[in-house]
Amino acid sequence: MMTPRLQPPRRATRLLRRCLPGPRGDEVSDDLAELFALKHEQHGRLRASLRYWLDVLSICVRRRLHERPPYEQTSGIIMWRNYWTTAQRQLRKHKGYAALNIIGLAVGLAAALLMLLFVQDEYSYDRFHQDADRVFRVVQDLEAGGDTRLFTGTPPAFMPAFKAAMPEVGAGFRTVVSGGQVRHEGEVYSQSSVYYVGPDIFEVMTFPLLEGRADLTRPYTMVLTASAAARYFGEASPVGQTLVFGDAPHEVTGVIADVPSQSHFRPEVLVSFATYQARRGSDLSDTWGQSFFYSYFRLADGAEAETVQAKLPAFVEETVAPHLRPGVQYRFHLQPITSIHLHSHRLREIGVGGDATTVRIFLLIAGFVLLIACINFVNLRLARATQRFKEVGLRKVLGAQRPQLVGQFLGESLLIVGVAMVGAILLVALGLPQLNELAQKSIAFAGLFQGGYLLAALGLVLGVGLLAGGYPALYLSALRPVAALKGGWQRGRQRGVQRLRQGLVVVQFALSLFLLIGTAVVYDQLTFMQTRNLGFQPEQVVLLPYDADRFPAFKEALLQDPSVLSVAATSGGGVPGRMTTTLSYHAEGMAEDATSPILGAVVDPSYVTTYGLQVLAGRDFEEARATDVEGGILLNEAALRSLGWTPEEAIGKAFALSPYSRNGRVVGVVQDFHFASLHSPIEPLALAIWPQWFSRTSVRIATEEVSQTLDHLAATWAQLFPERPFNYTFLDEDFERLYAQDARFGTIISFFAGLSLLIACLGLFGLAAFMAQQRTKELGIRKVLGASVPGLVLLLARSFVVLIGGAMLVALPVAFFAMRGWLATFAYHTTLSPMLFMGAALLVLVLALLTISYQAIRAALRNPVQTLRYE
Amino acid sequence: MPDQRLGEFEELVLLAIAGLGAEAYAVTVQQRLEAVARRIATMGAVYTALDRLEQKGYVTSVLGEPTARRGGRRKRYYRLTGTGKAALRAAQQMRDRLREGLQPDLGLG
Repeated sequence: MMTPRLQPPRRATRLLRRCLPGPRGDEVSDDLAELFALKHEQHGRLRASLRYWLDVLSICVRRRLHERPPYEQTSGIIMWRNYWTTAQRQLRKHKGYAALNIIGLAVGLAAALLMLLFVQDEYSYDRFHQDADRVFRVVQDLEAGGDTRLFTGTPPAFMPAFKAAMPEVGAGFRTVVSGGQVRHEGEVYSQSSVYYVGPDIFEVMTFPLLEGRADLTRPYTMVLTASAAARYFGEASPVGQTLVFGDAPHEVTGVIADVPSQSHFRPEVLVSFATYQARRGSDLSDTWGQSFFYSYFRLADGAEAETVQAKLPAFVEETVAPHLRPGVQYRFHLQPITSIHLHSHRLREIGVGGDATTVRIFLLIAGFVLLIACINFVNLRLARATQRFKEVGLRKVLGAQRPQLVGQFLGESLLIVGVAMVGAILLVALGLPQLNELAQKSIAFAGLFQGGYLLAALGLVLGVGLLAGGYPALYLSALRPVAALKGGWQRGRQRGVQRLRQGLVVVQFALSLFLLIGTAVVYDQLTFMQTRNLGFQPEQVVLLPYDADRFPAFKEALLQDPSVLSVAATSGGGVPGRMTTTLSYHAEGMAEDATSPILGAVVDPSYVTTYGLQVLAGRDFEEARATDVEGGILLNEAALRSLGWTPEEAIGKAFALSPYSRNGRVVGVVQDFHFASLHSPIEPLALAIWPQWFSRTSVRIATEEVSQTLDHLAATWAQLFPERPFNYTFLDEDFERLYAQDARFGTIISFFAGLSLLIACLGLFGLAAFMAQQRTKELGIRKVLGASVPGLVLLLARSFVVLIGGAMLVALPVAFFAMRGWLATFAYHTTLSPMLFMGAALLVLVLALLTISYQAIRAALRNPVQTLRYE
Repeated sequence: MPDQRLGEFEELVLLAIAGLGAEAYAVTVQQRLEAVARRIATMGAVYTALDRLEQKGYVTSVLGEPTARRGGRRKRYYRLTGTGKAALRAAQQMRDRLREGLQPDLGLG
């Protein structure tokens, strides 16, 4: 032994033993003691002590030294096999819990997967064009008299001038979208999505050519899509054949592949622009006053879109402005073609677009459902944790390190999530057709197995596994072996876990309640819109095409049937739901040259009767008065409000409505009616008679025997228009389409609200079962002491009711503000009724109580003899 | 396998072990480093280097027999392995190659 004087500093030694307990510490302290003795001999006590301290500290700051395992580690593979066995046994032993966990997760994951498919589809629009990010559409803002209208189209003259002025435009084309009759081999077809385009289209957009040359340079040539070609020619090759479109035969010069459904631009027939020019006798390249041509272009190599956008104001100043009436301003914007579907909401879009906000809301809702499913997972797993205490304790005693245990439990979670994922994919296979129908899409199930998507699904499994499995794994692995083996909770921790579990239940039910209220409000608003008095009668109005020559005869023939109540001719923009024709007016009392924009509906004298409008002052148009046709004007109340007139004042006032009546007079005032969707407020509207613009026939029929009346319409039509098919629509169907997106939104949100409630109740079911089981003995004793079954049920249910109450406190205000915000996007909306909130809350409470009471009653009914038999 | 590169300090420790032969354990290694390399080598650094070298398979260790000097306790002796020797040779050769073609006036040739 050393002499006591040669002992190294004691405090340093103690520190060292604290840093390095175990055999490693023995070795190291022996080494250091030896070194201390050496230094002591050489340099004396002070320097030896200092050096000793330095060495101890240098060891303590190096964590790597502490962690060096003193003995061999068990081979990883053997342990993993053991974990696998344990996991399997756990799942088998507790089938009910495993099923609850897996079903809940599978439903949540399926919801997320479906939503991802939907979102991916929404974001994939128009990306199939080669270098789609270099293709743009030009749109136009029209500003006149302080009012701005956002048009999708541009003036016909725009594209030629634009191309000439901008070297950055590589290729560009303008198009008009229309439809019409196609005749082929004695059959008459009605063909929509006919686009008049020049050959430039193939340089801007990518439409693979299947047959022929796709020559669109000459007049009266056309290119068909594969399905249009099949409709007219069947198996035979259409190239070189002719189709009669309108009145003239057109030569088919090529067939292109069908345009993918993920496109806003989906022609079925392309007719050469030269045809349009030949029919009109002009290519309209000096027409600046109307905006119904859609303009697309591709950037030249090396050019930047910003450059083009920056040059546009100067272009408008130099080239466009000289052609415009004073007080009218045009502004042009570039839209990347890939952003049109989700982000462009302008007047007269080509197709019905999507909506980025809705997509985001859907993602959020899917996230909610997934979150609720994750919470279930955490809760059920924490509840089961007590069952694993002994296992954890034993593993720790046998030398398991914490990272190993975390790995084991996380691995188990991932296994369960993986199984749930398989279930989710099956559910997606079942749910996808429904989603497609709801969203009017054609998403293929195969889309699930594309690289990026699979990766996302894998990410979802990992994410959910780590998120939901993380806390239970950390919690279980932190147990102290002695406490764990005793099977009891550690003091303090039990409360903590219980709080967490309760908090999670609150979050779950708050989310479910929120979604439920959301659904209720959306439906309330939908009902409101469908039942609101629109100020006119959209029901029983049949819309037909118009033909100037034969209209009087047609009208007369129709009116012979008493169930045809009234027949009116209108412009396309005269039909409620399609009123987008902006005109400008000059009214009495305005400054000399001033004009203001107003919506214009071109109608005939039967219009007010046909649509059931109320005349508030003055009179309706009268057929007999020639002055009405020359300059009679009807205004709605909104127009009067913007003019500051009372209905009585308005009558007889001069009102010039360009371009038709230079010297018009107001003859009457009609009550405001909702000619557009209830999203937007009623705008000022002027009705005028201008037969040149008539293009639609509206027929009001009696409510009884509708099908017979329709037969009569069809027969009359066939008699007078033998060459045209009888195509009709009901106005109210048309009108409902204005709310199609809202209705779809309602269905999808209600679907997800249902799912979230289902999952939350699944979780509650498991939790209640667990609580009842934990308190088996307590219930037995209470029963022996005389507690009644209802009393016991109440006892068990009480704690949950408190939680649901908490969820209400959170969800009700949040839902109130969120839904008030949503309703604010409608100009006319229902009020949020407290009944609706209470109803939703009550429904959640009742569902939760039903879920709990099954378990509670079962527990309360058990015979105490059995529950108390074993100690 | 972990990182196989040989750090500068690790190389010194490896050389010290090689030089000490049968007497190489933590204390002697540290003493030799301080005597020959004239730098302060804390025990923490020495242990870390020894652990790393062992992980890399450049040295092996055995617990020696107790000696009277250590009050009956044992110490851990380190010995170079074949790969350890190869690593030292490789380090040497790399330096030699880097020296080739150096300007003579640097005085390093």
